[in-house]
Amino acid sequence: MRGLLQVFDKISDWAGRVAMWALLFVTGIVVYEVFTRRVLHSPHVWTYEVITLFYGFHFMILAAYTLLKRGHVSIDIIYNRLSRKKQALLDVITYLLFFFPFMIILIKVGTSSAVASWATYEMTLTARLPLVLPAMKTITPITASLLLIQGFSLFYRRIFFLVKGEDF
Amino acid sequence: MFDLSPALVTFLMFAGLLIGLFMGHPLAFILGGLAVIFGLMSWGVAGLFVFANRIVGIMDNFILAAIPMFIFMANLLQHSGVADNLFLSLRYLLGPVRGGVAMAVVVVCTVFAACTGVIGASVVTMALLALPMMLKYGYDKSLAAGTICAGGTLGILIPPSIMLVLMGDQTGLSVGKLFLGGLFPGVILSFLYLTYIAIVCGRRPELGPPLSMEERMAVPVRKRISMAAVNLVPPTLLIIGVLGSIFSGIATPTEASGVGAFLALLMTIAYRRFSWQMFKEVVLSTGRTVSMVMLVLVGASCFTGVFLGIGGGDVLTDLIMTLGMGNKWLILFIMMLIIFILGALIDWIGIIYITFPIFLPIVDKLGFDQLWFVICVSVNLQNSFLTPPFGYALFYLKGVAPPEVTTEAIYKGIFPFIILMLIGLSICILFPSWVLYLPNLIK
Repeated sequence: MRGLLQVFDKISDWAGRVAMWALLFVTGIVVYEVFTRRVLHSPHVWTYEVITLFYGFHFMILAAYTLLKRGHVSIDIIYNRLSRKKQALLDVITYLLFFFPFMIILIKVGTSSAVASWATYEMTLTARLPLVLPAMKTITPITASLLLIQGFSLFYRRIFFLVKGEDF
Repeated sequence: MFDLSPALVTFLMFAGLLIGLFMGHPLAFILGGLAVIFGLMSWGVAGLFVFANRIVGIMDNFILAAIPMFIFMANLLQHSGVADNLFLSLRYLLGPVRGGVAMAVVVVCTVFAACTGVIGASVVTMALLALPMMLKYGYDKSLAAGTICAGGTLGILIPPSIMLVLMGDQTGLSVGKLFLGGLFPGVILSFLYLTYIAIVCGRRPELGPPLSMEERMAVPVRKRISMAAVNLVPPTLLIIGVLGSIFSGIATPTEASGVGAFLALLMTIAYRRFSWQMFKEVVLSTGRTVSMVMLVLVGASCFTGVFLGIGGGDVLTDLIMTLGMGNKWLILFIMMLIIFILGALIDWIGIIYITFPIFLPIVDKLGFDQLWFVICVSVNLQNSFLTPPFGYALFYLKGVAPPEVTTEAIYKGIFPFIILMLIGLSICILFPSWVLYLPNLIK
């Protein structure tokens, strides 16, 4: 189990460190497009859609990494005053009640929307680009899967602490 | 499925939100989890396929793509030292006055706010740089903390602003116009903060003592003025480059955000702060912040989809109209009060997503100007960054402040600034023509 959870954490870490560079790609294309459009007066239609694809990829894939680094905002005013045992208990409840159902539903609805998009070879409306929309729709189930395994890794550690009274 | 009345579901969803929040779980997943629970209860799994479209709608959105780049720009600027140098020179210029260092913080935050669209960069920069300095000079801890929180929060009101970008996306109003609308309240609030600091420290110098004679002698007045002027040049260039290109119609906000991030990168090189290590860290920390902000958007969008779908919007609309007794000013007051209270509990993204679909039709029905209303909300939302337990400015300040600045001292310090924000909001509500003057200049 220990090895498995470490693999889960590694996956989030690795995915985040890859996805973070999409930001540079997005910024680069925006600067390129402003230059060609405003200075060279030769605009491209495809850039808008490529920009949105990579902007979406960036923040979605980074979500699991952000969870690993405890970067998602929460109210800790009461939580921080509790004993570690109570904190672990609260985490177990909230993961079961909110987190896991949300992720499982996102995987389910996200997958069927992605499958439909690939099956019809959906194209973007303005530039008629292939692949962009199916790829974008595939991001949702991938993000939810990454979050699910990262969430499981954190969840299991909480359970372990509750049962054994020591850190995993 | 369960046959629950919309009123009961509305109540349960907000009660669930409140309970979940105080259990310490991340806001994004509470919103999403509640959406799943109540969506399943009302419609079954078939009703939840709308989530997929809503999330793709957030990704497939060229306006919202400005948000990561504005955050990237702010983080680069934070590391460039632009604000540091400006603050250090203004400290000498304003230092001899009582409360002068705190005023320097507000001025730097205001200038920085016109360069960036977020609050994190200003709060963190000032907390790292100005807070230790103010404590060293014997400033009151609460005043110092409150000034930094309130001043830094101007970053998201004064354009460019990721909050106004999101509001533009949600209302269909032009982001350029909203940016122009944010200028007047931003300047008013900044002016109110300066006045407050001057009055309080003027009457009680022990709260914010002037610089000592020796320190004043070290730098002659002429040098102080020239230093401040020189250090104003880089931010001025950024403001012209980013805001200038948006207001003149040369670039869309998204394009300007990309160019702004690029300019900020050049500034880190010009200020000799650039290193690969720093750059990698900025890209990674930007990714974390962007993901945090956008995931709340994802959760809030699912929550609102379910909430409105079950008829919660009508419940709230009826409630507001009944409580307002047909008086449009009373109804406006109730809407602002709801936003203020929500501001203490959830963040601005959740508030915009939940309230706008309900409030905007009411605003139209009452005959208020939508642009004016949205600007007033953005002023009101300044409070959401400061009011505990959920306030981003508090999170950022606590993250980097020295331990002697306790949570109690911070809470005490922000209180007067919340009053000042409410005064600023009242000014905007009472004088719509002042708020709308600039936006109405462009078509």
